[in-house]
Amino acid sequence: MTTTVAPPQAPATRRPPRRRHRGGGAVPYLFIFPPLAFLTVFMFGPLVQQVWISFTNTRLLNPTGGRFVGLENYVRLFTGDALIHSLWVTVSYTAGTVVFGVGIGLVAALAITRPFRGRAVVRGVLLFGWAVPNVAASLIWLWMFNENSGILNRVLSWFGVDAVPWLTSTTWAPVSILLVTVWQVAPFVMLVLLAALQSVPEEVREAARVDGADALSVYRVVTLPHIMPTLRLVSVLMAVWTIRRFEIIYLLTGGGPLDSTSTLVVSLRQTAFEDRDLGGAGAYGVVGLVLALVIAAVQLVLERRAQKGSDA
Amino acid sequence: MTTRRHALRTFGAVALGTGVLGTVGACGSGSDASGGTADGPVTLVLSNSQWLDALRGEKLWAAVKKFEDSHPDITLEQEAIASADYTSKITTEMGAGQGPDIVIAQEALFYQLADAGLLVEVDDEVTDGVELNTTADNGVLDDVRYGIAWQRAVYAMIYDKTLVDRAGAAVPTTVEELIASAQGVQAATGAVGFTGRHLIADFSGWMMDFQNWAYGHGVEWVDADGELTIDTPEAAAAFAAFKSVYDAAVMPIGDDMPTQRNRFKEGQVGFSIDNSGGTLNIGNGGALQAAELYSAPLPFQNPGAHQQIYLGISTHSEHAAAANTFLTWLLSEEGQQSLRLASGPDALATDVPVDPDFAAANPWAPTFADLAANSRSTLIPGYEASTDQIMRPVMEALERVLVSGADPATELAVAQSEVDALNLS
Amino acid sequence: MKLTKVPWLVLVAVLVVAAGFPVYWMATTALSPSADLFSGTQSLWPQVQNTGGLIGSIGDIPILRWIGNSVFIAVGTTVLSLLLGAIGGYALSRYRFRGKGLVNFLLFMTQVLPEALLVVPLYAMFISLGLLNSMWGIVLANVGFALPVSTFILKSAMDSVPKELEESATVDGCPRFGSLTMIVLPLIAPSIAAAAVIAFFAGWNEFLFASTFLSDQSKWPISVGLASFIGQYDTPLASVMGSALVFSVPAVVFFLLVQRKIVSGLTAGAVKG
Repeated sequence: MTTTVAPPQAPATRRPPRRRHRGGGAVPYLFIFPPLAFLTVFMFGPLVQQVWISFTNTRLLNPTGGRFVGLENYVRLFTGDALIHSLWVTVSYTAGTVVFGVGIGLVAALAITRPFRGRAVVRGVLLFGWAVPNVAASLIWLWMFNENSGILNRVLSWFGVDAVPWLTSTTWAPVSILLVTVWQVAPFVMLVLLAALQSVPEEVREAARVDGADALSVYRVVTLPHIMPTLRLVSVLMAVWTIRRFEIIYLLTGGGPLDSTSTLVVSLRQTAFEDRDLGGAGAYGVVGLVLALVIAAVQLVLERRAQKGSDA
Repeated sequence: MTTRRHALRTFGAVALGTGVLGTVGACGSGSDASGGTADGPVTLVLSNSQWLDALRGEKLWAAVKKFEDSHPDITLEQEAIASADYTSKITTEMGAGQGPDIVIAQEALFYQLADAGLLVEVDDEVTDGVELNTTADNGVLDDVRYGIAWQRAVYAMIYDKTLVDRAGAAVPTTVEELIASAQGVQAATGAVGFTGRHLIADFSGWMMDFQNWAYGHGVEWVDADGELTIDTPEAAAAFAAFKSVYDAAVMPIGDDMPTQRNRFKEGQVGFSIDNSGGTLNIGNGGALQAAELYSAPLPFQNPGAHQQIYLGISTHSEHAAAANTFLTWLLSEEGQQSLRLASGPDALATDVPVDPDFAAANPWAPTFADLAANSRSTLIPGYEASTDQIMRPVMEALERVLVSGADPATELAVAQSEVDALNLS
Repeated sequence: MKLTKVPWLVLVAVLVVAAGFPVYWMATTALSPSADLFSGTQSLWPQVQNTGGLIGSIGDIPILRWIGNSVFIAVGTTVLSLLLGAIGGYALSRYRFRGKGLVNFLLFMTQVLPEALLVVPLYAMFISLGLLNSMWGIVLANVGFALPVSTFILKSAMDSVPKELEESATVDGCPRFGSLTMIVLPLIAPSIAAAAVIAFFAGWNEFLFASTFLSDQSKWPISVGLASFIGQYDTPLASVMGSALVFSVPAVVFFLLVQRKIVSGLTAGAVKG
């Protein structure tokens, strides 16, 4: 259990050395069967069912009474403005989360990667955003964002700044949602990058310094390339997880005002439970799924290319 | 030796695994039973969002629990659902053949459930010989009675007399005066001038509240032939009136209704438009004394609306007989009296006078009783089951007017075309 | 030398305030008298003298039961996803087999599925399995999302355990499963801890399934209980914030205790025994 310092040779995403059992007959299937069976029953089965529902006119009040309607739900979705709008909201929210979440997470990780007095405490506090459960986070942010009595506007008023409509203007609501999201995800990014940074070989860095490189170029030439695979992985994770994020938006704005924070998942929920249109909701879900898979595929291609580059 | 120990470990891990899975099965089948067996004692599940109200929840529950004294073979159990999730959750449950035996729901949801065939007809014996008042009218759909009234909460304008007197503000009778008085209170006391629902995230609540503004300005939502007419000058006037208050910097924009009520409770709000249930809450447990809480007619030309909550019996209930027994008891003198004590001045299914002690301690209560004579349902006549569906584009149009300053008439025309596309007429 | 430290200090200070302030404000709000909250006079410092009153008002809320339920759900999620994740990870790490690419893809796909997409079909399935309104149902639904993460973390940790260690055991006649539990798992303890934390937190935090599937108030986890305050009449803000704090503190403390393990566990190579 003495794992205080990670050994330098293997960052998280590097390919493991090839030392596997070459084939083992039925044995690997015995091992993989229980988890796979579980997922089939509790995830893929329901998923297939939901995809099927997206081709029917199923209603929430009569969930077994749906009839096959072909592409009707998709046609409706693609001919209206709603899908384009919520795709735009989703993509910009995702991009914002990746850029700021990973950016701030990286800055935080770099700031505390070297030992200093009180580092444990600082690192602990920096983790708060990740550790506070979504519902509790929504409650406190709701109160902080309160236009009349919230602390944010109170602080602004000390500097003579007018009250900001944090959650009630179409300009500010997406910003506020992004702010809370970044507060939540940046600590996770920081944690993962801290792990990667610990494995940057100190000798190389030292050598670069001896050669007269300043801090910034040491970072650019040595540190950044070393943590690049991790950075890429964590960015994709952020993107994919952001597409799924639900509670914060649902509890802070419910998708409003004027649908300015209505991501695919929020639209899905509204279609399913407020319009009671399970077929239409299924179609939203399938669009979201395709979007996430595209992001995942892009990551896969990038990683392959990077690996080829490093092998060559 | 090592081998055996390994084998034991393996066995242990496997046993742990199957043990966990085994428990899954056991717990799953055990927790399914929601009621008693057919011939044994019966458990009735009653769903209501009010069970969660810190103030009224316990009192209302105690009121219905009295039923058990005279019916020892029937046990009542509550299903509490937060009001924000109530409609979606009940719809999910009942659509899937699950849910409570007795649903206690706002009129709109009640109608949708009845319309979808998810409620059963109430036995004639339940209402036999009972003098039902007008609250009973909307419980009937196509000549079949699907529900009886739980409570009716009429709307009025309420105000904090301390603040209003301190500001020397008048009790307003028009929207312009309301703005002036609210600004007066705000300037003189630092409190908030006016509160009212204004968030689309709280659609069903805001829709009901807004019907007061609509009806108050003469809106009907249907013409003489029963055609849906959304785009009218009256509706544009109602939109403009709401917008003028919204823009007057007297409202805490972004506050949800509980936060606004909490403000009022702490003596930090001058005026509000609220129903009797909400007002009962405001007058209890905060810095504001009930004796300082007053009410007045709405500052509109025409009478306003009321919220109406019904009880209905689920089609999926296996205990419809017991449920009817409960409804019979609730309409009995004992049941109504018991409910009265927990309901403040809300109208009940029969005319039970408000408790005199309560009336004496709550100067706001009598006005509500007077206004109930002319108040209307929040549902659109002839389109009861689709009112939510019709009002969503309307409220979205209003949201565009408020948030982005769009023109009321233009947005109402958009709403009209969206409503026409629903093909309900 | 001293001067170059200033920007760094400022940066760390800004980060600490930004990350920590909401939690601080949660505590401060919880300890404020109701009357101050809406009059713009909420104290900037925690009114510690109000702790007694806060505890009293939280006492009106069934918070202990909610926490108990949350613990049950979180522990169930952790145990089950670790058990299944360990054997799945082992198969992926140690063997090549047909369909492995597909398995990897399927595991990854779970990470992009929105929970909201599965709510309705799961609801229908839980009715027939008798899992509706059961905390076990919530556990199973959560494991669907936590299991693939555990599998990935444990798999990459296992990748770094030298195969020779196991081979010497196999020569002794040690069966495969035994070598997993006896040799591999102890070596990757930090990664197990990391996977456990992530699974536990997923269960502790989960809201959508719990709020849809559990109709019985006595089975609510604290996430659902707390959310019921939003949009409800009359729950004093101080008690809401107090409860939110009670909800957050175990998670925060838990993370602080295990953060080192997570860092090393997430670094797949961190196996020094």
